[in-house]
Amino acid sequence: MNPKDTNMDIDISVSGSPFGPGSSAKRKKTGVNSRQEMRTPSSFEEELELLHSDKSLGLSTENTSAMWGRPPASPLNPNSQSLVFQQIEADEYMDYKTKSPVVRLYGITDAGNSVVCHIRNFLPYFYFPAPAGLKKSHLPELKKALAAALFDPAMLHSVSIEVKQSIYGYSGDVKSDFVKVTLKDPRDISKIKNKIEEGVEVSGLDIICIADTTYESNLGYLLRFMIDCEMTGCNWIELPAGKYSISDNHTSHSQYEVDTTYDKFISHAPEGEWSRVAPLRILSFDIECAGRKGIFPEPDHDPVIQIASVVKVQGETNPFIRNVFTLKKCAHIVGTDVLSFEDEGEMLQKWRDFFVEVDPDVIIGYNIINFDFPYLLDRARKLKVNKFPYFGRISGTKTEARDTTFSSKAYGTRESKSINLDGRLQLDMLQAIQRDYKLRSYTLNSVCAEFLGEQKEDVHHSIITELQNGTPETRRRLAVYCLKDAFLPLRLMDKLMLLVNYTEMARVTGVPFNYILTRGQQIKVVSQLYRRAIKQDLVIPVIKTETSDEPYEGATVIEPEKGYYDVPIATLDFTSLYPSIMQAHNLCYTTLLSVATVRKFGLVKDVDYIVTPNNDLFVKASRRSGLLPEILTDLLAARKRAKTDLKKETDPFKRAVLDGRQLALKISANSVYGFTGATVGKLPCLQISSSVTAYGRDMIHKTKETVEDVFCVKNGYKHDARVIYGDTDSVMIKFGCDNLKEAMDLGQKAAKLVTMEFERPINLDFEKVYFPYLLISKKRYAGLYWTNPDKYDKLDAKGIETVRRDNCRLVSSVIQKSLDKMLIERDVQGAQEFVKHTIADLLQNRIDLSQLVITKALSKTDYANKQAHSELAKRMKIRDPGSAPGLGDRVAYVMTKGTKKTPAYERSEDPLYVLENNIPVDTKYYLENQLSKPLMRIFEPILGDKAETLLTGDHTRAVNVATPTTGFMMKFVQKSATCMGCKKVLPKDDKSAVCQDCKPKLKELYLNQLGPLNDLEVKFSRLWTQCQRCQGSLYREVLCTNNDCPIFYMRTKVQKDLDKASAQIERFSFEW
Amino acid sequence: MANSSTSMANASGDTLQRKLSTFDKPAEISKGYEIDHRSFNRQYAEMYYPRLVQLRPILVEKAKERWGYLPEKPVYVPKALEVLAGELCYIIGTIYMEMSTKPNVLRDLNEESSLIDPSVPEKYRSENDVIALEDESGRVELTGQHLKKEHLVSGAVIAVLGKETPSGAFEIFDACLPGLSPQRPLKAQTKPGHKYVAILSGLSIDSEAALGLNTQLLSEFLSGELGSVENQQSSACITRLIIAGNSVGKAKAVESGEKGQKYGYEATRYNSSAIDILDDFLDDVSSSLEIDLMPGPNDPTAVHLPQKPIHPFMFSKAKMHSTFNTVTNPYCCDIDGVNFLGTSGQNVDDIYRYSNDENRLKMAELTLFWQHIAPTAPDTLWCYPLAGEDSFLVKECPHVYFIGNQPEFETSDIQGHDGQKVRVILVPSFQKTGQIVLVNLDTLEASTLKISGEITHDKDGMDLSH
Repeated sequence: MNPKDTNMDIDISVSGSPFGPGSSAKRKKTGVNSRQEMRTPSSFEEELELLHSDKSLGLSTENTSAMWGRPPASPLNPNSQSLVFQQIEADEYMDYKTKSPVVRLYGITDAGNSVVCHIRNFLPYFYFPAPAGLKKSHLPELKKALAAALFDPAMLHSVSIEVKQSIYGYSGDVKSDFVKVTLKDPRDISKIKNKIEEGVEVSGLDIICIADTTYESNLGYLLRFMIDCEMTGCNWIELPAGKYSISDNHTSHSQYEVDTTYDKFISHAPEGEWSRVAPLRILSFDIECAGRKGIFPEPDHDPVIQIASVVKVQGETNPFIRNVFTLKKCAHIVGTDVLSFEDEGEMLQKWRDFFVEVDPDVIIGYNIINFDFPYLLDRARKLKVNKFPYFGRISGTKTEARDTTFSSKAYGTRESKSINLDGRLQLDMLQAIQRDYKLRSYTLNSVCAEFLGEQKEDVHHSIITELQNGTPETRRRLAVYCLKDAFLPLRLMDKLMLLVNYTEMARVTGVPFNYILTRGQQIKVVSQLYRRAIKQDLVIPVIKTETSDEPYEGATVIEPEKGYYDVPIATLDFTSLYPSIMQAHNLCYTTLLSVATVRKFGLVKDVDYIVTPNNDLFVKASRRSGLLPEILTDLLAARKRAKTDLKKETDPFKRAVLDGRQLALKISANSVYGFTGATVGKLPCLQISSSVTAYGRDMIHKTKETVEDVFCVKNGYKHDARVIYGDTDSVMIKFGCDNLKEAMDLGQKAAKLVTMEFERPINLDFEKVYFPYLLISKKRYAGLYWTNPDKYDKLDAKGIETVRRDNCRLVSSVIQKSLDKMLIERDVQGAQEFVKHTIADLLQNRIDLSQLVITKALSKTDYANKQAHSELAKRMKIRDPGSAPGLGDRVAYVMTKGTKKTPAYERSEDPLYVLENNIPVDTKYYLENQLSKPLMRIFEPILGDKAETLLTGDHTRAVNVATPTTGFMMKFVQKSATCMGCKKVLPKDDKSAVCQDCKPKLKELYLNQLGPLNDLEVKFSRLWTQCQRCQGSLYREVLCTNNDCPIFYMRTKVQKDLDKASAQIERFSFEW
Repeated sequence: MANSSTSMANASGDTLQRKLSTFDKPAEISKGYEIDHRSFNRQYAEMYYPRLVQLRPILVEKAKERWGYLPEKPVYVPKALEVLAGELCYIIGTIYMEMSTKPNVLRDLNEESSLIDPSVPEKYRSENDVIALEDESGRVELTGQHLKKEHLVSGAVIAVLGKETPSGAFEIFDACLPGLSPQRPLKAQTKPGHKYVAILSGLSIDSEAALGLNTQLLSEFLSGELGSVENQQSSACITRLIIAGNSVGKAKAVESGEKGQKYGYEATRYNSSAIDILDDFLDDVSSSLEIDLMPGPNDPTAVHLPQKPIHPFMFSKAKMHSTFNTVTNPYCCDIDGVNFLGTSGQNVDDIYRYSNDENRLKMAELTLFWQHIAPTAPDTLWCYPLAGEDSFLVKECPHVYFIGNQPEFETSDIQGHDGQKVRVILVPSFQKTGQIVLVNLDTLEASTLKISGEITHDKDGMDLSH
């Protein structure tokens, strides 16, 4: 399979141009407040050295060209030796000599040798229902008639009659005749299919042979092959001795190239010893380009100046190759092979040669698919380095970047590039992380801050060219930076165990590895469905998708009784609600009944079949067990294993990974339900999906009734229980008791009781108690989460502004702290005080500017409506084209004060510019447009109408506005000093600190000024030494432009503040 | 040059003349500590470079002397990154120590209070520290058994002899420090004067309480108003008093009582009563004795090193005396031709955290051998972003080097290759020990004087026979 659909999602850009700004996401690798504790950012160079000094390596990583290649392959005798390898990728091609398709597997042996295996003789096929009266004797004529649709009739291999059953609908055990059409070229399927749909005359048959619906004609050849040969993604293949041969014609760069046929090899199910992973070679790389001032690098003009690569073997801790290819001489970097070139074309070619020599199995990086790879390819084309674009395992296949779009209900539509690297897996960390994690920002920097707990120096692309044009030392600096960007994806991949998890997913669902990133959820269900269907002689129809406007009713929500609950609220959850409904009621394509079938077989309600709350009929498992329930059982069993491991695991990070895995399996299980409901999907069946949700609704209501009926004073309980909220698969119950232990016991009891009301495996589980609990509205609530009565687990907040990116940091920190105070400290009064103080600080200009920065991606130059961030980008471009944000960059801004008439979009301003020119911030905007709504939401349930006082009251009276140092009015303003004691204006030219009246208090006033000055001094020292440490050099100025780093604006602000504060204190010098 | 002439009346009515010393503030050195106009629009990188440039030629010489005779004939490699693997050579650069326990601002961001007053561990050292040497070309990790023998801190500029290991680190076998800087010869004493300079630190006067008994006694002793004639005579031998920091306790904000001010801007107020008490003390003492008042970490002035003199207007009484001087920290002066250099202790306190060693005296000595009194600034020691010149460099070796606010009195005598001799003194906190240090200007010997209800001389006390 060629990674034709390789996709990449950037919400940072929707530009279709290859080198467009989307790619600039890559430049801005910035950080976000991490919830984790920050690890001391270590100097990357030292890290390199540390790696380097790892004696276990026992060899130098400098000048390593000798060790680029794979371990030598021992000779192979196909007659006496078997060949065992893990296949990682597969694709197909037509062998025009034999006129038949070939599947090509790419794999790695345990010894780390590469394998290409050509598998022949597997032919594509599909089915259609045999028309009445069609007999075996008609087949030659039918074949002839169908073959006429092909350019070369010989390409139709055969037609035969097989006894099958359609997956769609229960029709007893009655099977019927299907015509199986087998072809030689997979691309011919659609031609024959069209012919059948039109109808063909078959001589000897009195009716026209026609079929409205064909079966399995839309399944890709490769997946067909994998399903028929019981091959899953990334499993182990064994070619027994004597069953394969060495290829005569070596077409690839692999060490072993062999031929076999589809019926001769063994495909091992990924269990036991076959669940291991081969020693894959993983290459991570990053490039730097020298752009021109103010323009994002374009391959037609701007050279590639450095390429850093890091290679390691899966399972080993440290990379064994670290090198950087540089244009022009670059000073030595410890532990790194520095290869310098005077000619850019030569550098590119040498890097390509290095790449092929290393022969990596997995290529990773950050945004490589949409930036680095396409840039390299285009640059090489521009420089006419004709031997460059060959990166795949197959000799002579040109590597190209193509545009693709990827649409998925779960992930949305995204435009991307696709790079063909035959036989190599691509794992772009940006795509993977965007897919699996919801973050405030996806720049490399913020991702690292989030997962690795590190801030990272960010060199602005306008400086890159300067560094390149400097000396070998400045280029070295760049190279260290570039190397770090090659290193980080590797560390992220390891930390998040992405390779392991994706491999697991490919094995569980049976799809090729590359599909996990590039395709949606449906293909996984399709793969599993076909694998089961084939075993029961079931065939799957091709449903012509029609967009149906008939919506089906979704999940139910029990209207929340909003408020602040200072008593324990027990929460009961249905474990895997939708999958368990499908399992419990045997809902499947194969069990769907029509009224006619009921009559035909004389089925009895509730004995043979059930009627769902949606009035659909399904046979019971005693008659026929559905395929979907079986698939779900497998997925949930895998999930259960992950959960068991999770319980045993103590390492917090591995726990997170296992948690991620069980979550992925949960999503896969839920996607089975989604698959049946996707009206534009492969095999929609609304009877299933509607029945599922209908059951769900019934169950939530039933639970509410049961709980409220049983747990009441009437039955001897102390209080009447009340379900205060319920959503989809969970209900929140107020039992009325005020101690945790009791609430937990009642919760357990209720869960057991209610579970009994339903069919297995439906299970209502008591999970946790919220105490206290703040219920704001549907899907918005927060509470202290307890699973044992002695210690709370965490503060859990749902749907409350904490990660939203279009809010400034102040919002999430205020909300977070208020919730902490309310729920953890149980100090509602304190929470209000805290909010009031914060608002007072805000209005009096005492909030750190970095807290007020709002960021938004500049995704196009022209917005229909003028927007704050795009207007600012325009203004910045006029000021300094070099540093202005370009397309795809995130624009950081703060809202400044303007006259009443100034529209909001004109009041956005660059935070640095605001700091430098002391421009007054529109604190009211922040209060009204940012803070007020989220605050009201969390305080209203507690304070009711009184919540408003948080936003008005005394604390909002005092307002301080900074005095700008630029602007039209400033020219006319005469600055005169005021007394630091009483703010009285001092006579002109009087430079003393205080007025005559305040003289007696001089010492105190001085001390009052000194306190804040001292604080600023400490801040200054701490912030600037931190940046010095982070950049890993004492002698070089801090250049970092990482404006996502929490201290980026702080360090500039402290300079300003200190200058101001020391000028103030200077005024006391006149007091003698 | 300034002469001080103060007489004091003793209880019996006789006038005892206080001995006099000549005094000079060497303009060249002092200038570096006095920064007129502070500007913060610069970075710390500008400090490290002059430091290296200044010390490199000195180290090139020293290293040649030390290693030149070795049979392997090690060569000097001017750029640390150009060392050739396997060849014995030496390189010169600034030490940088990556230590995970250093206060990290990113960890303290959430609380304003920990941002400006971070918790600082007793020691920074831990298992996985990385020690590196850096010059303009880049940074090289240092390894080797010898590292354990060397006392290293961030910011010190040294030469190291070693080899690049296959893994790219630099394995060191020996290190070479710049050594003591040149020293001005001591003036030949015409006749022994039995004159003393008193150094004290850590009066730590509190705003809550009145002057403690010890401090009162100290004041009386120094003014020559105390006790026996003997005591008065010994007091008269003191020609100058240097107060090395922490004269007052850390200023505390006064809780604002007014409700209306709750959300106001200047919620924090300070009171100056401790300063007033100190003023009385200084007023008393300076009426008969020359005083140099250095600021320390707790005193009301900038916290950045070099610390500005405490503003004289804070001492409305003492400032009236011409004998009262507020000076910088670090401070250097010349008394009777004896060159004094000292700090209020921040430098040694910070160096102390870089080593598992407890020997503070050795750390103080090392700063002279590094020719830099505050190498850990700016990395962990808060300092002003100096530019163009690193004023903490010790270009001229002092005769007396003192460090204020140390746990206990310690002293040593160190000697340089070129005949330099330095008296190194750790001055204890007066509040904690009741001790002040006396330095004999003739012999440069240091002794303590304990004031606790009564005055006790230690065994090497002042010779009062004259």
